[in-house]
Amino acid sequence: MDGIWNILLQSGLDAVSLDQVKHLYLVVFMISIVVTIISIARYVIGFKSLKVYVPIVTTFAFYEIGYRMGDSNQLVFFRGLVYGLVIFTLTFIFSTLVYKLLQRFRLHYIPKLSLVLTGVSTSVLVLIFLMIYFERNIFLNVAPFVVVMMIIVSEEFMAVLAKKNFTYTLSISIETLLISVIAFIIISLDIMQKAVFNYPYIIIIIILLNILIGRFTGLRFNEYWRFRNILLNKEDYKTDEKPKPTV
Amino acid sequence: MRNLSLLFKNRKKVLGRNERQLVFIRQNNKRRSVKIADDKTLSKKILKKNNIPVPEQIAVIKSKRDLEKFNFDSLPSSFVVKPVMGVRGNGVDIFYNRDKEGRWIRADGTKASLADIKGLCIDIIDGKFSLFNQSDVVLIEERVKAHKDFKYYTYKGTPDVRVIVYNKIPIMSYIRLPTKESNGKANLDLGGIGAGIDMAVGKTTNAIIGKATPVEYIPGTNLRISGLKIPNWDQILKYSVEASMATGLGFGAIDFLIDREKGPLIVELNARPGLSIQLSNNDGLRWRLKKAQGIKVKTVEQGVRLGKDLFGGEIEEEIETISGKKMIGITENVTLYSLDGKYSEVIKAKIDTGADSTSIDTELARRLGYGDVIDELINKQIPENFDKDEGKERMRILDEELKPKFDYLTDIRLISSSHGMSLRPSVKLSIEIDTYKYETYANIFDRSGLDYKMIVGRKSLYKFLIDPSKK
Repeated sequence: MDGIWNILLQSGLDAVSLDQVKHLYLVVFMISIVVTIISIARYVIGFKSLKVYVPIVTTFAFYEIGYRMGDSNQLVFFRGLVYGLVIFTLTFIFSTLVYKLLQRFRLHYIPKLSLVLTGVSTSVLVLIFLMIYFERNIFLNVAPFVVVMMIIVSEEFMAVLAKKNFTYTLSISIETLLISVIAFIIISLDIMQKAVFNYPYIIIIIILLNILIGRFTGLRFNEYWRFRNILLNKEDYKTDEKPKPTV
Repeated sequence: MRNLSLLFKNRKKVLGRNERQLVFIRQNNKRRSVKIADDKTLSKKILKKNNIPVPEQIAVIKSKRDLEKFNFDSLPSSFVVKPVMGVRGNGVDIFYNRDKEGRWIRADGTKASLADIKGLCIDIIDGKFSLFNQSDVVLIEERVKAHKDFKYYTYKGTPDVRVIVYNKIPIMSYIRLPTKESNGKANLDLGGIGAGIDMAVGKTTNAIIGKATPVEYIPGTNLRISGLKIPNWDQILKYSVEASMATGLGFGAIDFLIDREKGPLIVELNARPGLSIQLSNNDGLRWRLKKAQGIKVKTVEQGVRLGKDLFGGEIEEEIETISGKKMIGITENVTLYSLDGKYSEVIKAKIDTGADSTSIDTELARRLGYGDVIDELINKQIPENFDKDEGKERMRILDEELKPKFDYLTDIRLISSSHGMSLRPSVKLSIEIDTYKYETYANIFDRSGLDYKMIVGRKSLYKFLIDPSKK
């Protein structure tokens, strides 16, 4: 990749802008890695997730928050994780709460969603004010769009709530969050970031991996657990077993 | 470690979601057949055209404008409201009757006003219950009256029978029974019972309640779930093969309700059958599907026969009808009746074709009222060791002395066994094995140190066939 950076520098790009370009390159490249992680989680392990969109958005929200909250554009892993989790949890709690409150009234879909989003936005705003009050420079650098993306996730919560029940929504949200956290950990690894910069050919591995998962017909991990009774079923009648002599 | 190797070996038996989707649904279900299966009015129309019975359609409400115009008073007092493209029974409401104020009554006794029903219809039209939230159509059809055979097995609702058909061969089947916990709904997620069905004979075998808990009895009763004979089983298999042929559904589930008068009716076709049927049957789908793959099925009868022959676990019943004899295992629960017939006791007995006659334990015999002959023999104080000639002499004397005293005593027997020579009284005894009650003879002797308090010998087994693999 160094060649490309050099060409860009020669074309008159300054060093600060180049850093931004590198960050953009990293994030965009990581999308395919995150989606691969999600597909492994779904088809090999058996995690449920709120579409593919929610875990991706959440993962990159973690990443952006962690990246922008640092002092000198360095990824601060724990900040990203903690604040990301707080916003996700807040979004979940307020979406379900407002949705439950509105359930008794017959409202059209979008006004209902609008009310839910209003509730979530207000709560997130209060959180941001509080955080800035207690810790000055936090959140100032985080792009507003990241917060928007996280709040929009409410729609998915609401869609699941409308079709299924609260327990299902809770479990699918927790599993989505778990995937996001794992994906966030993986893309934050130093070794991963270096690989993306130094060996962009890993895209070929990702492509092959996805083809493999795409054709995978084996049981998922959670299905081994689900069907354990059948899987542990012994043969009904063994012929090689000799009858005990009777007295 | 043994469990791990079992897990590894058996994993080829079970069908998982990945394979269901990639191999079986995508390769066997054409878009047209999936469309038919997803649309209840369309599938109803096609099935009806092919003379396959379905519940009668009463009305269809396509839009909110239709709903405004629709007169709910024109409906009969009992009916079912369904979304045409609904999945997993969501949005289905069943009404049994109407009260004086004009409200409709559900199975669980709750009532629905006109506004409630209209609200449900609006939800359906808005697509709340349809597969991809697209706008839907309300289907109102006749209510199927549960078959009498299920009376004691279900709580309020109607059980439904599902048959998985692949390549025109019935593969696996189960019945879902509504319970008190599931509030009269035949839905496993809500706490209903799913009982696997033996393909050959149409009798329930293994069962689960809720998502995966094995269960033996209907909750709150001592009614055993296994052994329930599904009425019209052969017809169900026939219709399911016919339905898969008529709709071109290569791999799918056919859901039946069994009406008291009309017999089995197809209520739904499903192009994406769930996998929990495997848990109900305690058996995997995959090996069955693999077995059915590639067979050329030309006629309905052939498909039904293949399903029965390949996947029917127990052919027991057929043998029983051919030979006229009952099939029992090497241990059986035997009911013993006391002399006066007032008292009975069930014990686990060993069926022993190596023994000539039946024998029971002394204590057991006392409880059944044979105490006086035992006491009489003890009073004689017979010495422990004697040879064969001496034994014969004693036997003759005892026979003459005791026979007139006790009318149930057939004779005193000299038995030589691994315990040495012994004299045992042989008495008349009424027993019952596998619902067959009869009178036989049994020796009384002290079996207190032995595993079984009763062994059933050859002379008492004329009416039975013994299958050592039966448990």
